[in-house]
Amino acid sequence: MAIDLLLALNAAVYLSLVAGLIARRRPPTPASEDIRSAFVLLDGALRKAFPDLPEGFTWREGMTKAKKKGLQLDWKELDKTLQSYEAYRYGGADEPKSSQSELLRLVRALRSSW
Amino acid sequence: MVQELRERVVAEVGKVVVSREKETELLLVALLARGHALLEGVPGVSKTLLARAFSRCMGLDFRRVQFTPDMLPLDIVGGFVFDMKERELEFRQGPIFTNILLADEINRAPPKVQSALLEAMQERQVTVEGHTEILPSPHMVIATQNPIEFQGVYPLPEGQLDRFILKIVLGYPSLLTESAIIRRNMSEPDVESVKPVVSREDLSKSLERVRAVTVSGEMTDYIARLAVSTRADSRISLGASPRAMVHLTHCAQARAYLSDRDYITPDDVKELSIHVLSHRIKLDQALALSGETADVTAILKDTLDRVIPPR
Repeated sequence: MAIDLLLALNAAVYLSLVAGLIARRRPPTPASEDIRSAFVLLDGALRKAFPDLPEGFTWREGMTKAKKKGLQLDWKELDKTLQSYEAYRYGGADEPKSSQSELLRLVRALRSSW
Repeated sequence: MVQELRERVVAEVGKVVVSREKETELLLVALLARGHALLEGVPGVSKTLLARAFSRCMGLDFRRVQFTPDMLPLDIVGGFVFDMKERELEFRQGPIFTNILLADEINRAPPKVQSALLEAMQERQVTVEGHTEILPSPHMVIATQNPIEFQGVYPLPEGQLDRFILKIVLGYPSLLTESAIIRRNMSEPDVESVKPVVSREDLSKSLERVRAVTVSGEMTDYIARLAVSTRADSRISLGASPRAMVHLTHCAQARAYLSDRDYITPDDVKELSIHVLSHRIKLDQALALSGETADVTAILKDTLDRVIPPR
């Protein structure tokens, strides 16, 4: 009886340890206030995930590299986000109000590949 | 709609020229940026065919001049001839008075002919003995040249090369493309089958819209930093000129327009830099002797990798 209790306790301790390790390996989805800060997060994630990316890389070059990694993301949505960000950043359009969730998922996916 | 224009031109040229989509698009960029293009390649890589097909599908007036060592400037720009009936001198226009002039093998002509042509390209007008005539609009020279190591050529000086908005290098085709070229050329390629796919009205509207494409302050700073970087590179003895960077900006505007955008991005600049800058940059002669890579394209790529674009 006492041995059974000890075994169950042991199993519970090990399971919580494994769960803790898994949780540590999966980085939390980053948060950002606006699209510009979301792209700042992406900049850092791309540089860390691809050390061979040159200093003078563009968003499209970075995104193409990430796409080639075969990450399971909505690339159409990401392309739309990038287009609207470029229109805002280089074309003087209004700041896009659309959701950045897919972009942040990309940042998280890149971070877990470090 | 604009993308459709590009696709129409590329498809029409593709009827007679195999696998030169990128080069066709670059010619379109040069035309929309109101510049002149230099096609370089060894004999037999379809330089002339590409230029002829492109001119036909743009629906513009076209003339071709084969440059030879015994040419005179008046063979290009024209000159005064005596009219026996009226008993006076009258100006007879040379072949440069057209919308698209194909200057075939430009580097076979002596320097004074080259300079007469290139002066007209810059000024968009011809002056002979105080008489000035304006060239038709749009006006584009598509010059072809063989690489300088070929026999019987006069290399174009740097100042004259600078007048070409971009250089398009035509290399040998891939194995598959070569096979397709042979199949298609079992009978004579018929350039006459290329039909005009752009109206003059559409073209002049496009030319206006290209100049209205936004170039943000950060983008002009980026282009200027690229120029400075080429001048500071110890491997380069002659860096990019301010005219080169203005040309790069105009080409980027044309590329943005063809992509249906009204603003330029760093990708436009990076994509076109090698075509706009490679023929204007002179490498340090000591570089070749020291055994380092003396490849302009590789050095320019290195510059583009170093200079941080606005992100």
